[in-house]
Amino acid sequence: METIKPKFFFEGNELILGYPGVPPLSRQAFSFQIPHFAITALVGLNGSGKSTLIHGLIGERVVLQGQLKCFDKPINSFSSRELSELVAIVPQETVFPGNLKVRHVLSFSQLGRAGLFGKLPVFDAASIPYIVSAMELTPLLQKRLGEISSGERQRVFLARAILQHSKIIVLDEPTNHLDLKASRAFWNALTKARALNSMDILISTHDLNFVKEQCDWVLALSEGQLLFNGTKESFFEEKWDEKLVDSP
Amino acid sequence: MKRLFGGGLLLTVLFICLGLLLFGGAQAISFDTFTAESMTNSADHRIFWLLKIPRLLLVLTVGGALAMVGGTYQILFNNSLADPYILGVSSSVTLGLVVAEIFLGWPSNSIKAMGIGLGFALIVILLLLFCFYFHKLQNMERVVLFGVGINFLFSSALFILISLQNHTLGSGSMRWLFGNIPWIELKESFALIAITAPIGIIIVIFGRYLDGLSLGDTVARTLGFNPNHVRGFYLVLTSLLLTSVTCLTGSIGFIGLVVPHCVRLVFAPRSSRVLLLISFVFGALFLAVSDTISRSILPPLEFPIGMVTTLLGGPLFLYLLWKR
Repeated sequence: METIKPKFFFEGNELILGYPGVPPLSRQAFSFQIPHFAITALVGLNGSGKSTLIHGLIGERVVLQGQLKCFDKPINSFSSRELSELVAIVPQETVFPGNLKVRHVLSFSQLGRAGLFGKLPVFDAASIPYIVSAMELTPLLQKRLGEISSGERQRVFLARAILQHSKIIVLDEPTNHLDLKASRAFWNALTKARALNSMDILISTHDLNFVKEQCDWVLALSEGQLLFNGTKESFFEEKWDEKLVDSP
Repeated sequence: MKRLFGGGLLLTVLFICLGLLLFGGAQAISFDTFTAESMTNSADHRIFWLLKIPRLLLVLTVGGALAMVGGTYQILFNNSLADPYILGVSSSVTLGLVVAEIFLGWPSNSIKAMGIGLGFALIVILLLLFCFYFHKLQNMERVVLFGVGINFLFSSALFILISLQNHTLGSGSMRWLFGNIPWIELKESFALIAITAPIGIIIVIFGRYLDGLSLGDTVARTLGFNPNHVRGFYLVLTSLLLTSVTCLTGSIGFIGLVVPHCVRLVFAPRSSRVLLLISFVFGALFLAVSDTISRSILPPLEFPIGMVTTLLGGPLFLYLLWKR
C-alpha cells in the first residue's frame, strides 16, 4: 500500500504567535507553507519571532491564534513521544554539562524511544555508525564536552539530533558562535548527514551566504510578521535580503 | 572488563573503610568480640550494636541522600553551584525544630518536634510548587532565586532565635548551624532507611528524565520530556528526602555540593542514574569518615560535623579542579 506523501512538512494558517501573558509581537495573522524535503532557511533580525516559531514547532504553547501544522496534522495533536520521533533540535549553544563524554551525549539521542527501562545505544570503538565517522566525530567519542572546541561541540549536538532519527531537524542559529572554519566544518557535516538520511531541515540563521549556497526555501520574518515565503532564487532576485536589513 | 575491575576495586576500598570505621575509632573494638560466643553480652558487643551500628547506618543514609539531592539539583537547575540547601527546604525544617524546642519546650529529637519541622518544610515546598506552576515563574531561575530568598530569611530567623535563646539552649545550639549527628537507636535508624530508601530508588530510576534535561530544555522537549513536569516531580521527591534527613541532623554543608562534582570529575558517568548512585556511595562514605574524625579529634567532645566535612572535602575538591 502506498501512502500519499504530504506536500508540506510545516505550515501555518492565520497564525499569531506569542507567549501567554505577554503581548504578541504582531496582532496581524499570517500564513505560510514550507515544501517537503527542502532545506529551509528561517531568516530575520533578532527579535523578529524566529525563536518563537521554532518553539511552536517543538510543541511549546506559543500559538495564540490560528493553527501550526506538521505533515498535515496540528502540532498540538502529537503526543510528546510522537513529537520526539518527528522533530530533533540543535539549540543555540548555551549551558552544557562539561563532564559528559561525547559518546554519552550521542546515546542520549535515543532517550525518548528507550523510555525508563529500554537500552540506550553504546558508541564505542566496536560500533560506530557510519554517520558518526562521516561527521569526523570518531576521535572525540571518549572526550568530555568541556574538553573540545565549540565547533566540535556543535557538531556533536548535530550528530545527536541526527541519531534521533526524526523526520525533521531544526537548527537554531547553530553557527552563531563559530569562526569561519568551524562554520564550514559544521555545514559540511550537515550536508553529509543529509546525503545519508533524508530529512526536512529548518535552519534559523543570519548567514546569508549559507542561505545562498545551501538552502532551497526561505522564510523571512520581521517583527512577528511574515516578510517573505518562497524559493531562494526569488528571495535573492527580488532583493529581499536588503529589504530584510532595512525593515523596521 | 575495565568497568568490572573498577567496580571491584571500589567495593573493596569501601569495605575496608567500613571495617575501619566499625572496629577502629576512639573506642576500638577487636574483631574477636564477635567470634567468641561467651562475649555476646560484653560491653564492647553492646556498644557495637546499640551505638556504632545505628550511627553508622544514620551517617551513611544522610551522607548519601545529601550527595544525591545535590547531584539532582545541579542537573535540574542547570547550575553547578546548586546544593541541597539552595531552596530553603532544610532551613525551614531546622527553624521548625528550633521553634518547637524554644516555644513549645519539645525536645528536638521528639516526634512532635519533627512534626513541626515537617510542617514548616511542607509549607515551603507548597509555596515553591505554587510559584512554579501558577505564578508565571515557569522560568526555573526565578524559582531558584525565590528558594534562595526563603533560605536566607529562614536561616536569619534561626540565627536570631538561637542568639536570643542561647542561655536556654546552651552551647548545644551550635549544632543547628553546623549540623549534628545524634545518637539514635537501631530501630530509629531502620525507620529512617525505610523512609528514605524508596524515595532514593525512585529518584534513581527516573534518572533518565534528568538525562533528558541535561542538554537543555528545548532538547528535552524534542526527546519527549516536558521539562516543567520533570522539575515539579523532582522538586517534590528531593524535598521529601531532604526533609527526612534534615529532621535528624540539621544542615550539614558541603557534601551535596562537592561530592557530585568530584564524581563527575573523576568518573565522567554515562548517565544521571550512574552519577546519583556513585554520589550516594561516596557521600555516605564521606560523611561516615568525617563523623569518625569529628569524634576522634578531641574525645570525648565532638567537633562540629559540618566543619569536618568542609576541611576534609575542600582541599580534595580544589585539587581535583586543579588537576583537570
